[in-house]
Amino acid sequence: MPRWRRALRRHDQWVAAACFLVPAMLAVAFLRFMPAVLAVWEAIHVAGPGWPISLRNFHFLFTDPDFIQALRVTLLFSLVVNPLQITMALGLALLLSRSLPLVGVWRTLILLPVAIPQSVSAVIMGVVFRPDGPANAILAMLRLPPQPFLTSPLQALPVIILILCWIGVGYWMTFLIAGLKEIPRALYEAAEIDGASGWQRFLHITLPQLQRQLAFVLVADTIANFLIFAPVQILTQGGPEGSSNLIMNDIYTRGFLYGDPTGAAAETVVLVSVMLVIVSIQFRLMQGRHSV
Amino acid sequence: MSERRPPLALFLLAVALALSAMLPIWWAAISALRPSEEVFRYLSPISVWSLWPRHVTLANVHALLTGSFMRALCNSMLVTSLTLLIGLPLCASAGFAFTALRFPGRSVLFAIMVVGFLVPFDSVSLPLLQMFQVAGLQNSYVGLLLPALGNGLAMFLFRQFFLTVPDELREAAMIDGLGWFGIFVRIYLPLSKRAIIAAGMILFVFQWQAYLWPLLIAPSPDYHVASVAIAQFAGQLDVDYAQMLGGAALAALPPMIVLLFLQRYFTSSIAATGGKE
Amino acid sequence: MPPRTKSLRRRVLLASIVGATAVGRVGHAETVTLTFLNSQPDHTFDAAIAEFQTANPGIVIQPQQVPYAQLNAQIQARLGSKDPSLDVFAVDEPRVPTYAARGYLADLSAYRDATLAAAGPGALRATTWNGKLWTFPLWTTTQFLYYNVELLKKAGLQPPSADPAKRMTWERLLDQARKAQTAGAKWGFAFDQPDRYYEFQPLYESVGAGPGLTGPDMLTPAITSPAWVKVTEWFRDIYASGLAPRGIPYEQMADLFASGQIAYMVGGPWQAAVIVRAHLPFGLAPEPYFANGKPVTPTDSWALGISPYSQHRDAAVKFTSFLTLDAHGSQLAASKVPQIPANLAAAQAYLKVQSASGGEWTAAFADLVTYELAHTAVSRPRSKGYVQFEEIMNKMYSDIRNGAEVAPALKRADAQLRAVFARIE
Repeated sequence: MPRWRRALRRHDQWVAAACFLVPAMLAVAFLRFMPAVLAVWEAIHVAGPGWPISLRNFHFLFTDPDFIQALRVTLLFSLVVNPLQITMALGLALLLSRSLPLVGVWRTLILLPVAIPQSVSAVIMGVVFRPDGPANAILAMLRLPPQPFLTSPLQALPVIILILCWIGVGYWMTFLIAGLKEIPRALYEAAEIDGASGWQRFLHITLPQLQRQLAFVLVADTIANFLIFAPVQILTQGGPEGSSNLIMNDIYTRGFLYGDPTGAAAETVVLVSVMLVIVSIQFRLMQGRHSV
Repeated sequence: MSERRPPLALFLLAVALALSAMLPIWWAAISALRPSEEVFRYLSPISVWSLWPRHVTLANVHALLTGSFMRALCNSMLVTSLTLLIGLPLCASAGFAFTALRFPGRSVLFAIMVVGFLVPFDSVSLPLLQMFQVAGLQNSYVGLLLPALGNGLAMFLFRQFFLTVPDELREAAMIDGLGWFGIFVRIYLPLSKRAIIAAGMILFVFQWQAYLWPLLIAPSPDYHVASVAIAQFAGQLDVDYAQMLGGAALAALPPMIVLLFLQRYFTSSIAATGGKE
Repeated sequence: MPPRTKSLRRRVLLASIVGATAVGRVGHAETVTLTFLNSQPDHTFDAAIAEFQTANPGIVIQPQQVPYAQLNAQIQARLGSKDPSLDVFAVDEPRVPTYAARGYLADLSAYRDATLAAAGPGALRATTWNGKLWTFPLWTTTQFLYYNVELLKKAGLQPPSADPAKRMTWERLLDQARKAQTAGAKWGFAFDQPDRYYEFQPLYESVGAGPGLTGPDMLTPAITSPAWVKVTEWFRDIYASGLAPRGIPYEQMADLFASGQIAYMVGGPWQAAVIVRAHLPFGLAPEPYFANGKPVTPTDSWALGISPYSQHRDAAVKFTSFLTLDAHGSQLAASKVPQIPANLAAAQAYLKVQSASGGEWTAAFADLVTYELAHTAVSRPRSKGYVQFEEIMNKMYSDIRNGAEVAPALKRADAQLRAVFARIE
């Protein structure tokens, strides 16, 4: 191709890129970045004489036992809830990507909880796990002792994880079904002819072919779970004894309830940094075979 | 997956899982048919009355359908539809730009976009509110709509999906003389039905579930959305559970209908995607 | 694309349109729109607003409702950003010092005498801080002891008297509650708001242990004294011993009593209507006190504040004083909610209605409320940090109710309070 044509082509791509990208970039710039920068500024800005930038807010945070606990609880929570939700979603996706009768109905029903505002899902599940509620009633039917559920520092977080699974698993399942449907049937047929078992087909065809979708679901789910706060705020307010105080709930409490916006801003900066680190690690791990 | 008819056991399993996921919503729906005193009456021990109202009353349903809740539901449907209509093209275009076009700074911009959607929306809602107040967008549909449009996750999804479209198709189209817009609309989009639905779901859930932002930007009852209206039933001193739960069940209806309708696109298998085989 | 020619005719047309709208604007300059932010259910204030608008044709009221749990956040968000579109808003009276200190409230001291005359000294105290009046008192509260007639009969217990002179002690009440539980009641006793400081402040005040805040600014926590530990242990024991239910949120507690599962409940007067609707025979008695202590009941409720950034201060004052200082307006404002008007004249009428509402079950309503408000009511501590204090204490009570050990919980709350107060400028 002649040089002038190549140059024109590059220019052409630039212009096209601009047209396609401008609305989206404007949106991200104005609706996420600008307020984020304002928030960061609030976290490090100190009015009055002297150096206008200070890490005082961060110092306060890291010496606050509540914040440290929130960090710990959130990391533990993240380690459990993400694999759990994705495994359940994958299992359901494998089941519901088959052509079962009325499969669209079953998929929709499992997906439905995500359409209910989180505040109400929280109330409904709170009723389920009341000490005198249906969950304990079912346990009684199975001759098991009643459990304290949300009133126990040991059980509160697991119950919240369960509730989040009920709410979200259908959502992630849908993405994975889309991915499963993309896998060409010919691959499976060839493997069957070669005598591969169901499990081997799963390991060597399904999983690798799903890698892109799994990567997407993993990253998106991780991010979503770092931002959970409505069920915590409504059901346990972070208790008992701070055992369910996820970091977004702590930020909300600090910013909206304690009226400490600079502390909340600093905490948000920490949260986003942690998420960035974890998401980049996930990206790196997924980078293995395909480009993500 | 194989063509053989799947075993009955799997079908029953699917039905059982679907129905148990649905149970709490069902309970919420019939709570609206109960008189207020009976909402929590039959929780334990579990009986047939746990899942069916013992005494049916239409008073709560009537209040829901004739009160301000219906307006809030309509607001939600309007705002969410507009979000999809404007947001999907916006996110798809971005995904396309990051995939098909080559320009300097592409990966940097992509990284910036990814970081952008890591920012928890609820944390920046206060500074965002100030910006919107200055622009006079309080109590308006535009104010409700804007923050949901640029959804980084949806953009990311589109990019992921567009990466699977083989280069040959694009090159062929360029040789045929299609401009970038033509390539986008005539080649990429038709191949991406599933991505569009998936991204639509992301935008939809984000907007339908939105609570904190609509509350901040539109406290006027005329602009309440469904999630806010449902929370309104929780007063300081007493909660109208029958209406709240009934409202929640009602608010689940439009998404349910839409999702049922869209299932068709999920079941169509991809026979040919050009260079896939 | 239309031609960019600006003909003379076009310019004249434009000018005349602008002129006409300007004239029109002057003509409509009389109409003032006031926004009124509160967290009550829709249509609560419709009657009062309609009456006010009829009497004041130039003023239009635009109510804005948000859920109770979000009101504090809304107020902070809008007033913190000096939003001029907010005129009148509801203020929870204990939060008046916090909001006044942050500059969210307009000074209403000019109306001090009118407020005192209309609502009495208690209401005036609740709406004043640092010598200035900041809000107009709208409603007030107190607490009753509710008892289930059938459950008491089953246990052979004498129903408590509604006469304040014959008020029961806590010791005696719990004793009777245990007997009722042995005789078949699912729960012997319950507080209707089990995780709120509002409910427990009277316990500490009754034995003289103080409200938990001290110091010149009421910004020093004082919750680790032996008296505080003792009362809190007493509270913990009620739940640990199985006398009162765990895990039931406040919103579902009245229903538990109304369905006949609790023998005695301390709760607000607004619960009476719920129980009457459920047709459960019940009775009213004054809230108990600790032997060797004095009878104390909690009080204070909502007030109305005016934003200092409002552009229509006079109209706002007219509206708010109609809802609070005017007896008729106050009555209309309380017509749809089970709240006692702070306005003394309106309260009398309201209490009469309430006493009649449930026949013999609610006969003691008016007398009990009047007595408690006049003799035993104690407001919450007036502190700039009350909002944070309440949040932290509420969480602590929730933990203790769920079984946390008292001394460590008090120490933890103490540390949290000190940290949070240190952040207040």
